Amino acid sequence: MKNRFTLHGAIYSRFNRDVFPQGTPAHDMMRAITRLVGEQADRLIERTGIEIEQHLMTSTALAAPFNKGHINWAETQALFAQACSHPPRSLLNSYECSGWGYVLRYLDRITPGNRMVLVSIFDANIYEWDYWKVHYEWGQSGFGVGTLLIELADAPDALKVSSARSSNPIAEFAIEIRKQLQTNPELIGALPFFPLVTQGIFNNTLKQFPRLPDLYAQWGHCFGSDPWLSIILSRLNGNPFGDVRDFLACSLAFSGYFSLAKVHVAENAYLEFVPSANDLIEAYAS
Amino acid sequence: MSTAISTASNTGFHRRFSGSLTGLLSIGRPVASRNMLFPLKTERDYATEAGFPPSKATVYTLPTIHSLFLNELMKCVDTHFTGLDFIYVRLSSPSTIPLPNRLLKGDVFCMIDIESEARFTAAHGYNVMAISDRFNMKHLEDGGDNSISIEVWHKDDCSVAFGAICDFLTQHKIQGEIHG
Repeated sequence: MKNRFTLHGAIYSRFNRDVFPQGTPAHDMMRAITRLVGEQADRLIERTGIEIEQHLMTSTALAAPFNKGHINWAETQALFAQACSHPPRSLLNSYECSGWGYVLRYLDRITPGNRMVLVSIFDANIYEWDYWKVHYEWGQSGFGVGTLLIELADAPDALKVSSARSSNPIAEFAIEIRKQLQTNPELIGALPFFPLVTQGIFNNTLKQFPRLPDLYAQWGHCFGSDPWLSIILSRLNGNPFGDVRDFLACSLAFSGYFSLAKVHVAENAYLEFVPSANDLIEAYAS
Repeated sequence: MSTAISTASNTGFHRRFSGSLTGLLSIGRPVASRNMLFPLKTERDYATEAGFPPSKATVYTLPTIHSLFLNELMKCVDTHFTGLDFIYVRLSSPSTIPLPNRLLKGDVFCMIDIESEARFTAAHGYNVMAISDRFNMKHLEDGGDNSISIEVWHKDDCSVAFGAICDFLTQHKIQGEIHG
């Protein structure tokens, strides 16, 4: 029985400036997005040699073109079909930054066989709305696209998705992390990136527990990608805990939903960090 | 943890209601949502907003009322339906209020577009409901034409339960037709 999710591969490509010029048609934007996400998915499958059963896509910031009627999902699926061999079947963003946890809970129920799945997390401020750039709740935003190749766990306690009940979701989230790290001392916390004031709450509540460094100063808050980016960089660049492979991936949504997953990084996992994908997405849009 | 997926397609009950909201929803007490969390600030923000296709809707729904509506609808579903494996709900963020707790349960999955996912699982033999509304809440990133559809695939005959859902919709100023 697998009591953790196994990360067999992960790629994160960052956007370090605006992604599309003002007035770019939604269809062109979506063509570029589908190509970038699709190529990541195909690359992960090729590099790991693992056949996947499902692929879903989640996002915090990418809803407007669908909600405003600029494009629909059927058109997006057609673009994905042109762009890659393993397109995501659906897109969700209702659970905001915690979306990947809700996706894993759902995929667990509908994935038999080898239990290998892809989860893509896409966040970009495609219309350059001001509130997506800096927000008083999460600070400076960091945008990018990540894809994870995950083998689903079998143990029910490998994943916790829930919602904060109090008016202080950050403290409640921190206490939930503490509970998990207390009962699983071999896990290293991979937390979301937040400004210093919020980090203070984690520093206080989780003082005695091992955590990967908060990378807010370098990357800003990268929505649902934070814990995964943290894990990728810790394996590629090293971290204070040495050759660790077991993590507690944690994400908290703006609306108080949260996801915590016990993750084991496979020994031969394919991990890649792309410092800037802007040139690529601009080329794909033109 | 997992439930094995069935390979048999669901060939039993299949019905769809499609309609639209024709008047202001009156459920519970209206509460202001936190629209100021996502304000339009810059000239570009306003230009972008103005560039979207215009909505023709004449009925506006507060996000808090929409949330109450979904909660009541789910209560009605829970009262009348048994054996549903998945309930898909079309929803998006950023949200100015958290989702009702019922929508966070394990049998519910909220997405930007639910059609492909609902058809996929229904084709694999699951009992599925798909709830898709586009109520006009044009306060930030969410537009809408006030349309709503509810579709059910079930191994058992759910005519009575489906009728109860349609009655609920009629009581809430939604007019439409049943197909299938």
